[in-house]
Amino acid sequence: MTVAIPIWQGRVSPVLDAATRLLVVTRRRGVETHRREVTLGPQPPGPLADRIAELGVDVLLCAALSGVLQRALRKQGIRVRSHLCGDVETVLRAFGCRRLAREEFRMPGCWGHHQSDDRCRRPRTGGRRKRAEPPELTLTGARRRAPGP
Amino acid sequence: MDERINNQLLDSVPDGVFTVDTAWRITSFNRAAEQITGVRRAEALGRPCCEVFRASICESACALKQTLATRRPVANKVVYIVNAQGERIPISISTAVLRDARGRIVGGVESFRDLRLVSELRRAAEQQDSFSNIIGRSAAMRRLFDLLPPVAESDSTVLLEGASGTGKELFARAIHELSRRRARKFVALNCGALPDTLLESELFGYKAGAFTDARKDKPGRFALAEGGTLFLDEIGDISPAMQTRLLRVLQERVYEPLGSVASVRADVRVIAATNKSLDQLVRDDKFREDLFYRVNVVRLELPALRDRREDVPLLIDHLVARFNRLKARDLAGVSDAVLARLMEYDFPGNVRELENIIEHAFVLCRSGLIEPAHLPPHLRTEGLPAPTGFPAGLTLAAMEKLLIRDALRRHQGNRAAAARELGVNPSTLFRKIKALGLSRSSRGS
Repeated sequence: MTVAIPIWQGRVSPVLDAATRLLVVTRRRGVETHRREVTLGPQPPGPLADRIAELGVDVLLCAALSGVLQRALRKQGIRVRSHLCGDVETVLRAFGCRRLAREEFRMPGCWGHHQSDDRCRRPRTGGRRKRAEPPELTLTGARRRAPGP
Repeated sequence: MDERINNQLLDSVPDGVFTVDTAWRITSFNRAAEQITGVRRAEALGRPCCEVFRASICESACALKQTLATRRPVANKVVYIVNAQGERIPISISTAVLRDARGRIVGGVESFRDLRLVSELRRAAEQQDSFSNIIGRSAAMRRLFDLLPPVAESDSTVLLEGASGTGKELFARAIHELSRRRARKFVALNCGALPDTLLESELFGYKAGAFTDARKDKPGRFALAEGGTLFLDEIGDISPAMQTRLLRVLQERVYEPLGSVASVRADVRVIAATNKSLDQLVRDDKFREDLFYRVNVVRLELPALRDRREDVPLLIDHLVARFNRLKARDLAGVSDAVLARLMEYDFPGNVRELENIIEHAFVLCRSGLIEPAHLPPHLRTEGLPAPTGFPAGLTLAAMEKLLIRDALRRHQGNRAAAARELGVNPSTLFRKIKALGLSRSSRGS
């Protein structure tokens, strides 16, 4: 699974639309296997979503983003978990441990009705990736079952 | 002044205002700021300002940071923020340094104004420059806009004359939308695109068995447009035989589908259009005179774009906004050089050509302003004659030579007259003629 997170000064970049750097982390069986930083030039929402999709990103963790960009990312089959803030490494760890719902990662004013909208939801049809994803794993490699419906 | 009074004061300000300490944490957040950002004061206080304000410049060019570093305020910088609802909101920001009683810097203050109201006002102003999606503020277009409502109301047959790309179908649709027939269909047919036999069946339809493979009835465009409007484009291209059939429908308001013995009544308003001069076609015996008078009840002549150049900037703005919307882009517009080039261009393809030019530029231009390099090759400035009429790349001496030769030609080699026109002494001119090596033949005719 490839997880991306826009970064700025070691924290989640405040606005994805204007972010300049993207950390792309590849994880296999819950263990990080590769990471790289990519520069994002100033570009409009459509091309920005195309660029992120080209990097093979499955899940994007970010802070604020415009509705236009969110729709463009969804169209590319990328799952978006938005309105997150905090130290990048802590957020990545919390994602692996499914602890992103904690208050410390919430952006002010952006929770409430946005939360359900932002859950890592797979597109129903026509998504870029169709193969089933293995259950989320913790960073230690211990297998965790995805919560039931 | 105590904090409560401070807050009351800030809340009475219509602009959003917040203050930060030297660690960029929010120390006050007024009511307008809550409304514009969608973040409650209680949630904002104590948080890093970038997580609350979410401006496009937080990361790259924070205005508060600049102010605290330089001690200079920033005024009316236009940026956008992403509010709690995920909307991009254009704002103008101003920043200043905050000092305590002893003059020590304790943080900064940022005020911001929601520019959506300004945008709405601009949009309202733009709407005054358009009519039913037709853009124009030139005198020629205004006259047409004034004519449209009474023409639409009249239910008379309309003839639209205009070159290709001037918006004949847009005008036809506008007339339909303004007429009492707007609840029924608007049906368009390009008469020039179809051979005679096909055009006849397209217009009037056919009955089952009318010809081989006609297994069931097919309604024609007149039937489809029943109660509505039928737009016949390129009517000047139809054959004499079709002209006769069309004349009958317009005169009698009845027609017979192919293979039918019964006449069908047609309650259809016809709007005809042509890019040719029907007058001339009548004079050349290529168009029936009686049909001409039937369709020429109300004639609207649509101006070519070169005849309403003042509309070019407006159309460019409209097209850039439309392509931004369609292609999820945010180009700012065209540069002055591009605007100048487009203002002097003749647009043989009219608005449709301008639309294609802007679409071409959207392919090549990734962000910012559309520059000459993004235009189609025939519009790029390189290789084109300079605005003065000289070929590009001439030296000053070569230009001088051209000017002198032209002046001498105009005055049949009379050096005194040429010198007067060029504003130099005859002896200076003589010296220049010798120095530039102008031959005797080039001085005369």
